[in-house]
Amino acid sequence: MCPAARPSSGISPRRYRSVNDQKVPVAREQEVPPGASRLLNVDGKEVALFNVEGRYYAIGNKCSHRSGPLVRGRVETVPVAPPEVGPGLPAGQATVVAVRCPVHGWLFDLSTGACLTRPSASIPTYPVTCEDGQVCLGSQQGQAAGPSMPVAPSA
Amino acid sequence: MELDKVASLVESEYQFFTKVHDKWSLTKGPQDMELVAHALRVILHMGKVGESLPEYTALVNIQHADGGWGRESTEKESAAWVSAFCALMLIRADAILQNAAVEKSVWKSIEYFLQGQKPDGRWVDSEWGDLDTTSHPVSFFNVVLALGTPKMKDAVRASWRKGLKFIVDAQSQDGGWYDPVFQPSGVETTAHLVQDAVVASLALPEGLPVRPTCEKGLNWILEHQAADGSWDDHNEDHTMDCTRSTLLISRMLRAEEKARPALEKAVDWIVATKNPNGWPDFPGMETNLERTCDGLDVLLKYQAWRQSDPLEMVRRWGYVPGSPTFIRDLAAKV
Repeated sequence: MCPAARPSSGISPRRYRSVNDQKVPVAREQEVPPGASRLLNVDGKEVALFNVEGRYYAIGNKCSHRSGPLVRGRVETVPVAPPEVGPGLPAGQATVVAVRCPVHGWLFDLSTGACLTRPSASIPTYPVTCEDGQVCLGSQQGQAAGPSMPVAPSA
Repeated sequence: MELDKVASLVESEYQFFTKVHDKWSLTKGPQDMELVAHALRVILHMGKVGESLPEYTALVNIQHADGGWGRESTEKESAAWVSAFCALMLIRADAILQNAAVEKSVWKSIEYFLQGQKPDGRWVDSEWGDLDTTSHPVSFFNVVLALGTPKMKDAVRASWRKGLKFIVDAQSQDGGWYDPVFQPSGVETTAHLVQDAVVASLALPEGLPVRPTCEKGLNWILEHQAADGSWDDHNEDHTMDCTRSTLLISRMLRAEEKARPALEKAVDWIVATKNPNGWPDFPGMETNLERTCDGLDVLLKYQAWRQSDPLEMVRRWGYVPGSPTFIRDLAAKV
């Protein structure tokens, strides 16, 4: 489990506008160090940017349950039971990096936006690239189809 | 906190609440039902039930044939969590309204929960953890047992005990309740379960021996408070839950002096982090109307906690058999 994401700036999101679906620089890499998160506003939409051990993820900020702010959520490595696991293989071998909504605990796969708590409730993701020390966001991706469900840890 | 300041905040926040009536009232169109239930709780504790019959009639009118309600007022599928909250608001209101249509609706919701309980005592809702979900029908049944008719009580007693046992048995050794999928930190789950489900059995006959459960739960909540008075990383929702839980449990256990410093810090934090109108989910964010209803609820319950009549606090949860009175109603009659 990673530490809780630490929003690196105040609550008010920085505002950005994409032009013709081009990549938009949204932060310098050192502004969002590993373990940090940042709230962005891209084309009027709130986006939560995370740096998880050097890899960036961008996801819609509002939880699909009760609109909790995912930028304040805890980042976790979650075991899942992937549907492609064949007979004889133990469930839970695969893991995904996910953010847990701080309000009621719903989990979202940071790579795909898939909701691991309720499969029909996925949220959008945004491709993130780093160029010349700048973190750049691409256009919103389609929302993921029903994901694998998380495996509850044994008591 | 000075009671004058609390009263002033209650008045100004209630003014804001009434100003945005269109945003939460079913009489104005489709609504999010969790918000509606939170708003009806404000009406209840403000002593405004008697003048709000249209709000309750609107709630009755959208009840599903199975006795439940959906997450949205237009949704056709019933959901346990929000249905319990709606049913609880109706039975609390009917103690004042004495309205046949409202009572009929309460009966239908009782049937909904009797039919929906699993063999091990739990209720389920795809949007909430089983422990949290179960605490709400148990909370509703607590009030049925306190305020309902004898016939209602006969119908719910066995179901209530099974639900309560499911919750009590799930308490961890450290006093908290944890939901590995929804709430690993345990803060919200513990605060909900101990106040909504468990503690009422101290007042109701035929419950389970829950005093040790409540004592451990209260200790767990107090131990998890941050130095600034908040809970769960400055989470307004969870801080409000823990504050309300501490208000009720400390009164029921007569542990007020032990809890007072934590409560004063918590109320100070909640007041300090509110917006000019309403409360956010986290300090500095925009106002969330549901959280605003929670904030008002906390202030009203804190006012009751400070009253000389120790039972006034408990009446806020409806757990005092046969006495649905409210401070504001009483004040109006003087």
